[in-house]
Amino acid sequence: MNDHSKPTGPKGPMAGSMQGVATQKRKTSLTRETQIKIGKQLEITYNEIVNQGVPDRFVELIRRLEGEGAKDPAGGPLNENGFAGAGRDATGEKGS
Amino acid sequence: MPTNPSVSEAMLKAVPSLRAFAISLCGNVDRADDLVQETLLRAWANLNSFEPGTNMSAWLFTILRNLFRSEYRKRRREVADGEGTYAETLKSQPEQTSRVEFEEFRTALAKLPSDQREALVLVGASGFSYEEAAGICGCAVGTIKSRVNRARTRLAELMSIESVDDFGPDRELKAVLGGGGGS
Repeated sequence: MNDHSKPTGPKGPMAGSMQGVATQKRKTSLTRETQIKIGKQLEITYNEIVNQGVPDRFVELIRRLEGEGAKDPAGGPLNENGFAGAGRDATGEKGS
Repeated sequence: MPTNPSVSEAMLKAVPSLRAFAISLCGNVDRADDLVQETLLRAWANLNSFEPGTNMSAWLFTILRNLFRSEYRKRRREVADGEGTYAETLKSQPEQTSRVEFEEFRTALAKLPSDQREALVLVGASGFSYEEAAGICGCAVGTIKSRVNRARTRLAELMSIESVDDFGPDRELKAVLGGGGGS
């Protein structure tokens, strides 16, 4: 642990891993690499979904909510009971 | 009600990252999309509690997380092994047999305790500051920092063990890697 080239990380990232001396050593060199890998993988995994954009169902949902709000400007928002069914129904009364 | 177009646009804009966060929480796209939908509905119904000028995205993430938490608790009672089910959902995703590294990573990610995973994703992928993440998770900034650190360390361990290959992958992991690929 007195490795001065310790990466930015938390104090003693290897502290919990005393299972084997060999891996301990490997890990010291792997950690930095792995940290980068983790960051990258996390980003890729995340962006893969982000890049799918906004699925239609959500655009439709928001448009419908907007429609309801406009129809009923004074009224309260949707009640909670409306929730369960609201998204599922494919009736799409949007035709105006 | 304030059917402000900028509000609905801000909501829609947040959807892609909400989905990504939701998927990382529940490991299943369909459930995640339902969670996002529920979040939007809940948010819409409570727009009056949103303070204009504050971070809409953070507000939505908070709602989503709370919804997930309550659902998770419910499921936990039903299913008993919360962590195991994440691995199961990963296993059921097709078309990823060639992406072993991804699988490794996702499997490792799914093995993290959910509080660590969410902290890591919020800070490491969603681009929230530690302070914002603390707000979303309803805990102290220091708690978020330590969760993120523990998450990184744990992932590093899981993934290093994988690459060093000194320890065989555990049963669960083997099932995911081997089971998905067929042969």
